[in-house]
Amino acid sequence: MNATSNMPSAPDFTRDLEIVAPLTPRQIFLRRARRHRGFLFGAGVILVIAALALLAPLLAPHDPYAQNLISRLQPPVWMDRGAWDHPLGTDQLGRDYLSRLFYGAQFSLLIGFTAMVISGFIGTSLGVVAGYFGGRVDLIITFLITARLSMPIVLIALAVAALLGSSLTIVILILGLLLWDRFAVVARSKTMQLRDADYLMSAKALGMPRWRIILTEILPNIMDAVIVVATLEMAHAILLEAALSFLGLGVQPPLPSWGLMIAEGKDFLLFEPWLIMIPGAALLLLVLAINLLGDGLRDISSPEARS
Amino acid sequence: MTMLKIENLRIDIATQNGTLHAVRGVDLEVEKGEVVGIVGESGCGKSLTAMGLLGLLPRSAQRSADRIRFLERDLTKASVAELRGIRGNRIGMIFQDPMTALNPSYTIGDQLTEGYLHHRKTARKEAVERAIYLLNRTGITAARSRLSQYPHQLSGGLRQRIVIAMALMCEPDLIIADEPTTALDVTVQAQILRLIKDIQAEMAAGVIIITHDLGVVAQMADRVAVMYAGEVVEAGPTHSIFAAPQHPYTIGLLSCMPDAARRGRLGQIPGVVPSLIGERKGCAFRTRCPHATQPCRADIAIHRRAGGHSWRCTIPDQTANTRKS
Amino acid sequence: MTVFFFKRLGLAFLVALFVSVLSFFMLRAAGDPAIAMAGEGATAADIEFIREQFGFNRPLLMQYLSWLGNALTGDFGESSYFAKPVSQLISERLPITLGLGVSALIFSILLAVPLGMLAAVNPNSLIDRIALSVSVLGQAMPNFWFALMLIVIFSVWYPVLPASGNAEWRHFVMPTIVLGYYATPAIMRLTRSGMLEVLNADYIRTAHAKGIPASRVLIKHAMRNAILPVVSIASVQFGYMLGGSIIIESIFALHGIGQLAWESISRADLPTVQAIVLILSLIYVGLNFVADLVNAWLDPRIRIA
Repeated sequence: MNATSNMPSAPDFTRDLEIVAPLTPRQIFLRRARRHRGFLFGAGVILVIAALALLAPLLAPHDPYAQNLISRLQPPVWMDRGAWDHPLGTDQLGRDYLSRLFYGAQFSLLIGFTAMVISGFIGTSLGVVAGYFGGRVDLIITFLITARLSMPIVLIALAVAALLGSSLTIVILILGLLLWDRFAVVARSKTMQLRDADYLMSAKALGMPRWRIILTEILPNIMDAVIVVATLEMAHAILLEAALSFLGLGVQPPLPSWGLMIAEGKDFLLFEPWLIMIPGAALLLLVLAINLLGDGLRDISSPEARS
Repeated sequence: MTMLKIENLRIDIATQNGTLHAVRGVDLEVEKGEVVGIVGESGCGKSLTAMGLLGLLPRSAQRSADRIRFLERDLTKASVAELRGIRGNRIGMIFQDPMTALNPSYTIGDQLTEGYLHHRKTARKEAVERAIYLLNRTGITAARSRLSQYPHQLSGGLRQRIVIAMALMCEPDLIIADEPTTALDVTVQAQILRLIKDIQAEMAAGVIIITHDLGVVAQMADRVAVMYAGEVVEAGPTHSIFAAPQHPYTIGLLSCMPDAARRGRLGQIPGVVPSLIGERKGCAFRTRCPHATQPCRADIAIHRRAGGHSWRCTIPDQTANTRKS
Repeated sequence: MTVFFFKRLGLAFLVALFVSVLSFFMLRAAGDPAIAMAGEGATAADIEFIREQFGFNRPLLMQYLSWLGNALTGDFGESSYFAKPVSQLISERLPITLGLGVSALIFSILLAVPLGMLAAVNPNSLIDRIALSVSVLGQAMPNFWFALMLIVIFSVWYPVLPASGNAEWRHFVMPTIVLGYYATPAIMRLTRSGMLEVLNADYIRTAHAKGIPASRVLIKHAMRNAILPVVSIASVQFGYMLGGSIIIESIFALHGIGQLAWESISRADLPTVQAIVLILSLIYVGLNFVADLVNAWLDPRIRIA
């Protein structure tokens, strides 16, 4: 309508040719999110697992550490000899598998999340600094990223965990200090794209200090991309924690980490394969859900990225 | 002799928000040895019309037409293989951006001879000779040594000459030039247009030149079709259109041109092009038309005048209005 | 091209040097190697003896320099657990790991590249969905769990493949699948997105406008350009696979460098761990360097500049 307002003879005849009113970014986000099946599935599964982990003390049918050597290796309820007393059976020490699974979710989520926060902080800071200042600073940080990518992280994580002696804190620190590379790469390239944008120029021209430009102008604008990396790195950290625990250098017994549960079940692989199938499936489901959430977020925030 | 006759060409593109009718029943004719200009703003469907003719459309686009007659054949009924036999062979394409139209991984010689070798099934040597001849003809020096060069080693103007030479390899009956000079410097633009015009005269080929630049049309075309929002709103001999435009859109375009030289890009007509999604009734230009009235909402008759000048408007003769601006 | 070559070579050299410094100091900072090596119940004299013998009492920088100097001549010291020269251990074990890595890479490329290409050519089709599922599942699957599941299926339920050892090719089937599948998602995603990008390029339209057959356009004009980024990712993935072999080899009891790493880590055999970290990093840096060269050679924009 406003397009023709300067032509008094026209407006009456134009109503049916109007262009659709644009939606706000938030509306677009919600609309796309509601249509994105992967995103919905991922978000749903994560919510359920997080709820189970948080409410484990209330929901778990048994104490996850209570051993009962009489009823050890009892199979899940759907198999012969299974019983509702232990819906997912018991492990080699007679501990209730379902309860251990619930408590194990706590470790996966806790380690994955904190490691992701640490690596996200390191990587994003490095990336933004490299992208914003460019030149020699960028050269050095790019070099650091290349060097980091050249190091075999599984091996280094294992060696350091072995030398330091493993604990929850150490696993988190190792993963947090090793997984920052992708954050740095993405934050750097996004910042470089922004660096010459008009509004940054005007902020500079107004004499805004650098740290404020970075905090108030750059960070909010690269957050979409960083969050996507964050989901993928959280999934990565969860998988690595499971691998470390599986090799005995992550979460230590008797704590119920899913990777550790698989390692303990490995000895019974011949006759009780469900001991490894159940925690493995849980791990697969959680990581799958986080990845789908991340892919979904990327599709939703920038659909052109997937084409 | 009419070489190409398009009747009621429609191109629909499926989008998330519904079907976008990008081309809405376009009729177009090209005579042998004639240059036809299609002019309009970006998004009016002029490029799609040309691509649709050859079936070179994006996957999401759907083409339909009553008939596309080209040299006694109906392209709407042609098989994929038949179409490929025509493309590059009987119809040559000149693209807009010479920087991206050539494959960075292959030499100029390879890309020039590729189509010729495929259509003519000749020896490589003959194709190379033809390529060298055309490179010379398009004004490229040291033609033989260019053949082993890669696109990134050449300037934009040179690349566009190569794209032109590529379109001419099989001596096509029809050349489609899609904004052939838009991506080039002004000085190079004039040379390239001159070249296309000369070669067209020499080979007696038909040319469809797609542009948003009325200056190009005035310089090149025998006839013009003005497109707006997927429709041809006015068509006719170039001199007739420039001297006595009938459709208010054409009038608007012409009045936006700098008067002295009658050269320049399409200027600003106030208002926004209507959405192409969904069916439309009435005149598409009425949202921006200074003469819009109630009848503009109904179906629009096409007026025809002797000499092949036709237009789609409720007002039978706008000659009086042209003087107004 | 010559300038490019030397620039890349210089960079590769610097990265290798830096990584060697970093890994050396990181492992030293992680704990007193003498205490770890001496094991539980060692006396102070035992520890002091180990310190003396392995030179742990010298300044760190000196230790690093002499370690690096020896390493450059191929001398990585003596393994404290196997009581053999580390270089001998590694040269015995490396071929198995490299063989596993190469076969896994081939498996992964054979799976990922055709699937990614087909997916890009037919977006939103059934094949695209299958490709996406393969990739999403591969990203989420813990590889050690996948290995155990394969053992359950193919060694326990349907005993067709051996679960451990490295005597013949059948021992390598499951490790190859596990390790190869681990690299598949990244390669496939990049193939798909690269191919999609290329298919939308103007020069593809130019090729179609020439009237040459669609299959020719696809193979000659599209694939060549789409494959460029795949070369880099394949070399990166090969590096990751060598690192990931530590888990796979320990599960399938393959006597490769991964298992050696695992054994020396559990025995606090520091010289061996350090040598393996360095060698894996060097292989990775070398691969990247080669991938850069291959890329430059395939892409005339770099080759002729």
